[in-house]
Formats: sequence, structure tokens, C-alpha cells
Amino acid sequence: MDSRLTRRAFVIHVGAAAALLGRGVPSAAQTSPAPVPGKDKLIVRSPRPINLETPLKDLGADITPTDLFFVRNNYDGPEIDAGQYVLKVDGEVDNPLTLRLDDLKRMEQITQTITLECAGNGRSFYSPKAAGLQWENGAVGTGVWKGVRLSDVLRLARPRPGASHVVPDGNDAPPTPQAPDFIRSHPIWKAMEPHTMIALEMNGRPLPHLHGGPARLIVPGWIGSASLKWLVRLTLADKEWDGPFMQRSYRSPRVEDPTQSYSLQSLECKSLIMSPLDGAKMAAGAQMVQGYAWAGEGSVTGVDVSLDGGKTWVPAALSGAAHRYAWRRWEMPWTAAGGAHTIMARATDSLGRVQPGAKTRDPQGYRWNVIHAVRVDVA
Amino acid sequence: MPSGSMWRSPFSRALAALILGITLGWGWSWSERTGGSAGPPSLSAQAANPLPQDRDQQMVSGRCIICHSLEMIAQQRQTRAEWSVIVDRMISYGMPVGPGDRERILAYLTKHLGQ
Repeated sequence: MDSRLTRRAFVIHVGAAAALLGRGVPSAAQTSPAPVPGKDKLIVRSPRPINLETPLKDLGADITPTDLFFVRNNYDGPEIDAGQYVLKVDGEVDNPLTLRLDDLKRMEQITQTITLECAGNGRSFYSPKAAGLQWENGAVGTGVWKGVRLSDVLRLARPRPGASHVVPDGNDAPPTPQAPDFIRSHPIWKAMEPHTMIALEMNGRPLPHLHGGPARLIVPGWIGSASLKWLVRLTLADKEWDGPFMQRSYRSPRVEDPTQSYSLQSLECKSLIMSPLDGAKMAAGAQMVQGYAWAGEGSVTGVDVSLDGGKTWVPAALSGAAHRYAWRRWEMPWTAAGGAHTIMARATDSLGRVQPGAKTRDPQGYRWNVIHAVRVDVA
Repeated sequence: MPSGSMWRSPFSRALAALILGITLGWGWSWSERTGGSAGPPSLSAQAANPLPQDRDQQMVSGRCIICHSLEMIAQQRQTRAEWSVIVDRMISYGMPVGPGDRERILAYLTKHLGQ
């Protein structure tokens, strides 16, 4: 199966290149790439691999509809027929497993509302520019995920005492034999945490291919790359994965010693203003400032809003449901007076983290969470 | 997922070489004939090259697009030293470069997509 799918992926990739170059590389710049079918409203950051960002104006709901949900692929994966799907569990286990989709569906199912955010969300706001996809605010979304606990699957395989890490692999493949496979490992404690899951459904439907279907990991509270798509193999290991997506990418300098780096796990404490939008022209009188806040392994404990560019701050009301690993809606009524205003929102979490007003350079542009500000004109 | 298997068979290697040849060779001759302008009108909108126009636009485009879209490059702003790291990584991933290509690619990227 591997060889066939990989060859197919290769033909798709290189075929596209041949098709484009076969008619010459045209010179007309400034034309946006065509929208991806089923994701027409999303901003195409890259058509290959597919990387799509949700416009901020479309993010203001508790649950992000699937057709608006961002897509971040390091490599594109070929579609997997649900009937052919197989998940292997091997490595440091006493009972290696081969599970089909029906086997996973017969296990106890859980349904969780969880926010996913790409580690590089907001990278475009760093100055100087960091290399990587230049996401603005919309590489984040909240889905309702149904599937099995990863811990239930791992227990079936009976991990050996030395199994300290889980190495998941997906059915995507790099476009050349020299490029590294996309693999990042997780410590066993996070893999066994009861919220960590293998998702088979998203927002009430079978998990779509673009979101990792038929089965993907959801590692809640952690940077999006932890939630591996097209999961086909789980290898228990006695050490962290040593490939470049673990040892070079998804790392930031240590605060106490910037010559050393650490592998990113939890998302930062962060909030976005989703209404009004930057540049909005508003009527004077009763208005609502509204947005969402999230905090990775922490829980949002408050959001303060400033209507005067950061001079004074007023607590917003947290509203809506509070899920362990999902963003939380916040809102604040505002009697808008005429003139120009800068509105800012600053989240605080249960780990004592507060959104900063500025951020030192992160070499790879990860986890931007500087206080979000919008400028509006009230007539 | 392991990806090496397809490259091991002689057939696959021949196929890859053929497609690469078409991509890099025939593509150039076609574009030279047409002066590098857009191809068939029905496809021109999708095929717009987001990279800045210059003498080496097509040389750079042809190397990079084998693996990923040109949009991934066009949105970057990097210093020469930073581009150097990226270009060397791409060469290590299999980007085909002839004598002098590395320097030309680096000069193009630094000139048009520098910071």
C-alpha cells in the first residue's frame, strides 16, 4: 500500500510541476492562487502543500464550520479509502496491533470541543520576518472531534516499561527521497492524558481528507503540528524522535539560555478581537466588543479590554461554554463616542500567563501572542 | 511514512528522470518560444507566477516548484545569510543545481525577497 500511494503522490506533485512548467512559467504576478474546492472563503497561503487561513471576519463562532477551518500541511497526503485504512501500533509494546477503522469505531467513543492553532499563527507580525508561512491571525479554529482516547489504543498494545515516547507517522510523504518524513514524537504522559485522542469525526461528519481523515491525532492544548494527520502508525520508543521536525523545527530559544532551544508543546495564552474588525466604520452608541481567548495547557481566567490604546483596562465577561481545551468567548458592551479608537484585548490564564505588549524575536516565528489591537472610526 | 520505496525501482527512477527532464528542459524551451508569457488562456489565471520578474525568475521557479508552490517563496523576506541556509537545505533535499546555480538562486532571492 505504501509504495502505491507514495508513487501516486509523487505523480500528483511532479505532474503538477510538469503541467505548469510545460507551458512556461508565466510572468503575471499578483494573481492569487485559485481557491481550494470546499474551502472557497479561505486565504490560500500555499496551494502545494495546501495551507489555508481563515479570514478573521469568519472566525467569530464557538465552533468553526469545517468549510472555514484552517488547513496546515507540511506535506500533502494522498486520500485514504476508509475501507483500506489500517493503523499499526508497534515498537516498545508486548502486543503489536493492526487496527482497521471499524476496530477503532467499536471502541469507546468520546466527543470533545478542542481548539487547534498552528505554531506559526501570527508569524507575519514578527519583525524582522521569520521564515515560514506568513500567517496572520487565522491559523486557528475550534472543532468538535469524535473518536477514541489514544490511551485506550496504547493500553491494548501493552507498552513496555521503557516506552517513554510515542512516535506517530502519517500517510503523507516528502516529495523527494532526501527530504525528511514529517514525524514528531510526544512524551508518553501527554499521549496517555485522557483528552488526547484519535479523531474519526469532525463537526459531526467523518473526518475529511484535508483535516487528516480517516483518522488523525488530536493533542489538545499543544501546537497544531502535534495533532498529526492521516495517522497510520504509532511506534512506542524509549526516546524522543531525532528527526529534523523534532530537533530543528517547532523549537524556540530558552529564556534562561538563548543558545539552547526547547521543543514547543503548549500553546500560549492569547485572545483575538473578532468584532469589530480592524478599520471598521461604526455608528456611535451601543456597541459590543467580542472575541475568543485560549491558553493551551492553561485555562483562560480573564480577558481585559482597553478602549483607549492600552491606557486603561476593563474586564470583559467570559461567556459561552468553558471546555478544557477550547477557546472561550468574551464580550464587553461599549458606548462608542465619535472619533478614532484603538481597542485592545489581553488574556490571562490559570498558569499566571498574561499576553505581552511586545515579543522578542523568535527565530522561526512561533507562537505570536502579542496583545491584539484594532483601530476603528466611530461616526 | 517511509518514502524511499518508490525510488528504489529502476522504473521509478527512469520515470522520475523523465518527468524531471520534461519539467526542466522542455519547460524552458516552451517558455523561450513564447517569451515566458502566459500559456493557454484558459489556464493562465491559475498559472500566474508570484515570484518577481527578472532574468533568473524562471530558473529559480523551475527548481523550487518541483516540490512546492512558488507562493511559499514569494511571501518570504530573508537576509542573504538566512536564504543561504534555506537554499542549502533545499539542495540537501534534492533540488537540482548545476554549476553556478546556487549563487544565482541566492542572488535572485536576496535581491527580490531580502530584508
